Amino acid sequence: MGDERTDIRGGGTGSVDASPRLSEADAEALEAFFDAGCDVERVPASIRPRVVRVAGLLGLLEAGPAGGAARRVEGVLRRLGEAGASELSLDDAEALDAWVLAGFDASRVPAALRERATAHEALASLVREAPTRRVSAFERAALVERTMGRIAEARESGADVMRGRTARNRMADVLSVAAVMLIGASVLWPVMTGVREGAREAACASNLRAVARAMGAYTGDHDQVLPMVTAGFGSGTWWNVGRDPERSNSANLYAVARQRYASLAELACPGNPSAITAPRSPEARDWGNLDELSYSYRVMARPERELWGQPSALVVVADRSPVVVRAVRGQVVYPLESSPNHRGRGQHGLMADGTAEWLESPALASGDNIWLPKPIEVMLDVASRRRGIEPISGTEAPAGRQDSFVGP
Amino acid sequence: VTPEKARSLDPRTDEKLVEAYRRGEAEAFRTLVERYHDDLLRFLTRLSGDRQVAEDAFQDAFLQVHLSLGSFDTGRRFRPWLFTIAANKARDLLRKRGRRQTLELSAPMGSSGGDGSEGGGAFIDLLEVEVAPPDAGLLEEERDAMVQRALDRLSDPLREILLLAYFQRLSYAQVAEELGIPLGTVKSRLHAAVASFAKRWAEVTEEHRRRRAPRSVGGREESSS
Repeated sequence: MGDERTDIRGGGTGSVDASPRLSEADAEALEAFFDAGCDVERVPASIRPRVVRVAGLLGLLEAGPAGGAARRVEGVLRRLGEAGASELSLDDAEALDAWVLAGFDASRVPAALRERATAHEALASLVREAPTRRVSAFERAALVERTMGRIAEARESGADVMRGRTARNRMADVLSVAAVMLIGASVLWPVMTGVREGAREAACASNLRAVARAMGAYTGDHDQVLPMVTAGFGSGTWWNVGRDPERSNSANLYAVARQRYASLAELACPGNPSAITAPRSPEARDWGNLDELSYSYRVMARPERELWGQPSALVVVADRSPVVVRAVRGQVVYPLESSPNHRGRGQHGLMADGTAEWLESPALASGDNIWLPKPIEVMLDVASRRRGIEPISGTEAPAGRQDSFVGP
Repeated sequence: VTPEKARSLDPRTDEKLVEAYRRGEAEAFRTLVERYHDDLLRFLTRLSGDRQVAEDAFQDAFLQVHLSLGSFDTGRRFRPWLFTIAANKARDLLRKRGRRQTLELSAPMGSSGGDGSEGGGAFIDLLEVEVAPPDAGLLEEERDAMVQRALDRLSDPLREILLLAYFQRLSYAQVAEELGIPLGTVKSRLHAAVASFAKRWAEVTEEHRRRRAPRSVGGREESSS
């Protein structure tokens, strides 16, 4: 086997039918050409002259109208068979066919080929069974939820599989809807949506418990200082999420994931359909934009020491702030609006004492509004009847250590 | 028993679930999404080499499935249909992101490694390919990354056919039907894909061994002294 080799530089195309073997250099050139997506320019300069010849030969072999690169590869592979492009030995090729024929079960392959079929099986299991990074139950649930969320959106927008259903079915839909209305939509609808929302809230609460553990570990490793990687915002903006990590408060929270105290999946609320659970790139220092961000984090003018772990109802992390989302877009804000993560029903807050709580309103029992710094809250109180007030410009800082204020 | 657990125990075939969903049983679709989460995500991660692309393609694929279910013939198998849709979605996403295949052509081509395994020509002999990790201390993540590196060195068409075959376990005829390409092409392309992957894997393990070698020599000296 392999005793009759053809060097493309010397051989003619007529020898293809005689099942020649390509010379090693030509076979390498051919493979490099395929690997380069059949683009000669992307092949290393040292072997380019040979690749150009190989490419020329491929052009000759290609019958019919000139096709794209992929078609050309197919055509050539078909013609060359195992002669050039494939480097499987004949025995391995035969074993591969037998293994596929046996339903990918090496034990059902004829004995003579079984050893090689087992080698194929091992190679395949290397690809199939090696875990592509461990997926936690929460990451799993989050992806399923996001997928189902998109299906629900498609349904709501009318782009629905049910378009293909018969008129009779559609009439049944109408009747069931009418029945629901008669029975009392106010009873059934919350029950149906509540089940799903309940699961999201539970996953979100669990996320914050993981963040609490991460904060404990982080402050333990950093002299009791809460995560802060920005230099401090001074009087500058802190809501440039994804555009300027030095001017983005979320970059401080992102550091928790970047330094592997928590995963991005644990910083992704299932109630946020745009949340990401893996870094956009290994170099990323922040979420890509405000939509991807699920949680708001304490805005800090400077590193704050010994806040974490204190018996305090100070909110350090919460479901994302609707005030920031609206203010960034130049919309009117509603200080008592709850986070969009949970359809405005409320939000989870992670307190400085490490407990995660469900807050029905952003205003705490103390009257402190977690979306706003104290001075603005006071101003709002005073000027609550005035119109056109701009309560937040993305440059504020908490009034002190007792002022809960998170963003973005 | 949690609802998720109950769904994972649902004895119905994929095709039956599709029928149930068409009849209006919304939870049947969720069962399908959960049933395929691990396998499809692994397939897409392998195909794209990017977890985020894989997750996006996963969602796009199921959205497409939802939109196209009306035309799905339940006499056909659901799994290959889903995987083919998913592969298309991953390809679209990669194209949109302008991903150019990361080629590591400067990597050693095997025959220059001097181990003699490929010295006789361009043929790969699978029995000489070390599938087991090159050293016992290899971490799962490390091995995982090595597999991905080997896959990333394949051209897109070869990687796709390899993964479709490995993950779907379809006969040549079925792959030909799903991809709409001639049977002979499927066969020769899969042969080429397996050979290329085996070769790339051998390269990657060899590189790994070379990187590790100085450290293990030092360790041996230490223990012998």
